[in-house]
Amino acid sequence: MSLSILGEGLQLVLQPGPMLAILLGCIIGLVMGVIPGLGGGVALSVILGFVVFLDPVTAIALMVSIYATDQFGGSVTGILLNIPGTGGATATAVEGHELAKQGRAGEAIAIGRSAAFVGSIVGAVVLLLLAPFVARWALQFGPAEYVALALFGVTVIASLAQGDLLKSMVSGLVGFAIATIGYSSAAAYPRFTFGSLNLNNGLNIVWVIVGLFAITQAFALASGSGTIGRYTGKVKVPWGAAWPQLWKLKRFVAAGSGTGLIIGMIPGAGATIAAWLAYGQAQRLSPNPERFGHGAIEGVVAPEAANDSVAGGTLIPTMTLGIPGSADSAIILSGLILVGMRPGPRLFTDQAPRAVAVMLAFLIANLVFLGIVVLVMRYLIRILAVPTGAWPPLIVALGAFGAYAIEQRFFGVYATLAVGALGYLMLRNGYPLAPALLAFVLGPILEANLTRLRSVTNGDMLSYVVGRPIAMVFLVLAVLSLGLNALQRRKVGVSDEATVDA
Amino acid sequence: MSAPGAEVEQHTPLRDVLTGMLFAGVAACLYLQTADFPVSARTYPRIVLGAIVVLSLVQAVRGTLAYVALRRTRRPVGDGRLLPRVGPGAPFALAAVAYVFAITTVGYLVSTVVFLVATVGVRAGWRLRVIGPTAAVGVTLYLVLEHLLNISVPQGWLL
Repeated sequence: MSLSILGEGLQLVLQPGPMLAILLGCIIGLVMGVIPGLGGGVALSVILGFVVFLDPVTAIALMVSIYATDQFGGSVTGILLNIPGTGGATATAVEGHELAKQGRAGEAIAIGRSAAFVGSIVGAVVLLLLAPFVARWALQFGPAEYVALALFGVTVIASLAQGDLLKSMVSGLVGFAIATIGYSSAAAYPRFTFGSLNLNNGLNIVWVIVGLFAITQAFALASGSGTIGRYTGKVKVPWGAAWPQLWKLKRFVAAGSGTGLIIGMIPGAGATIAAWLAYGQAQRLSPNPERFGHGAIEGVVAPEAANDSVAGGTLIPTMTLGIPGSADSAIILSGLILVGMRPGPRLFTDQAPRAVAVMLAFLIANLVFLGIVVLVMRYLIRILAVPTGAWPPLIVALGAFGAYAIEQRFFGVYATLAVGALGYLMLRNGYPLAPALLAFVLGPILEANLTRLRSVTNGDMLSYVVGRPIAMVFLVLAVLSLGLNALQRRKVGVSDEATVDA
Repeated sequence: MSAPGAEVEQHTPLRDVLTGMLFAGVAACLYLQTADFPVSARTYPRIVLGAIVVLSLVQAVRGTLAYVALRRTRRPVGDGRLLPRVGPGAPFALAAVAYVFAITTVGYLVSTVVFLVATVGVRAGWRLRVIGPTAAVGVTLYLVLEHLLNISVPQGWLL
């Protein structure tokens, strides 16, 4: 990446619109992360309906800011109430809540956030440095590589999803099936439209994402209990004292950041897995491993650093290959498509300044966020007093709003509701939704590249793919991920050990 | 990041059979529909739908076997329900459906404010400090759509 492109990107992002979007995104990410059951995914899906009305850089700055910051709120509830608001905060809650019980909640929050800040900056800088190289490398990808990569993404997320492997695979296939509605890329023929002109162009990505994420989660939340729980104690957060203490714990920060970054780059293996791996590493690195489970600050530092560096790692395949590593990054990918920034290697050649601006927005969001957290921490805890019952109606109203706004057709609202009902049926019967969402996003890529592959090879795809080492590696990894996971589940004897936070 | 997919509910073998059959049935019907498609447009959906049929049938068979095995051991088979329990979410879901249909008949502004106030009031309490901001959200959404984004919202009998 040349300095001139970096300068152009900086110029694009340092405008009032994107900067305001970053500020707003940080606040939304912070608030949504605090509410268990919501999180950044719901916020991103609701926002998706509005992004087309914004300037591309402003729109994506808003989305990446939410994505960059929603983990922290989850950690706060994990530490204070032992209710992690996000999957990635589950590891933090173990030691963090023990510290809170000892009256050290403020210390856990300050050091945890500071570690997360370092992790997020590491993630953002590596994204900025590595993404252009990955994009350049990916320029040599052909249809075989994209088919293999899409299959790899969905199989990994299916194999890591919580619950039954078989149902995860069905969920992914349902996502692929939904993506086939409307005119096919292979032939100008409307599929599964049942004579309705409304379905000719397929289901808009916003309808599916809002339906699967926001509406389903609103229904799920409405079925739950009334309140999250209230923290009655006082929290004094020693921000100033956190940094010297963090310096003493630098190897835990480094281990957590590195783990998060690498795990983030693997499709499907998101913040939850990264945080737990970092927690395990911290226990091994600690001179006092016996303190783990009784309030070891290292057990907060490493998972928090991992939690936040994941986001940067996940954005690398999302932006450079057009293959999202998680459900949340799939929503960002959809946002990029909606504003005319088609993710993939060409994004870094055709729209390089904009791509750089997005990555810089992610970096700036992480910097701004630390300031916001320091300022609003004392008010943040009050959000926990908002009854959970207030959120589902708001989500439905906002979801309907976004579904209508995107194409200004009321059919979109019906479609969103129908997808939400399908999502809720699946969720209540043990089908994870992340594979469906990822497959819906990847479905058109998969089909278009399969069609290209067929025409390039005259039908003899197998021998062609065998001669493409990168494609073979992804395909082997896809098969291995499913096979190993099935074996592991059989060995453990339960089907819901692993979790995915995609 | 957390997502709906991260939290899946407990389920019983009987419900596995039912959902397996449901998915297999729907996918099979759609598969049959592909017969009308040109060859180039039907190959991919056939692969996807065929896989859904096979995997869902495997799930149904597995659920049946699990049910039979559990019956033999005389252990309780899940909650014994074929269909999920109707929880507090059902009235909300009905209200959401009614809201969506009311938008085109009653009008966006009125239906959104009424839906928000009614459902939040029922679930979070009829306090002014809850209801007031909720109604304000509804009005704000209308103003944003109509005046900021210049999108014409559906107008029914009212507004």
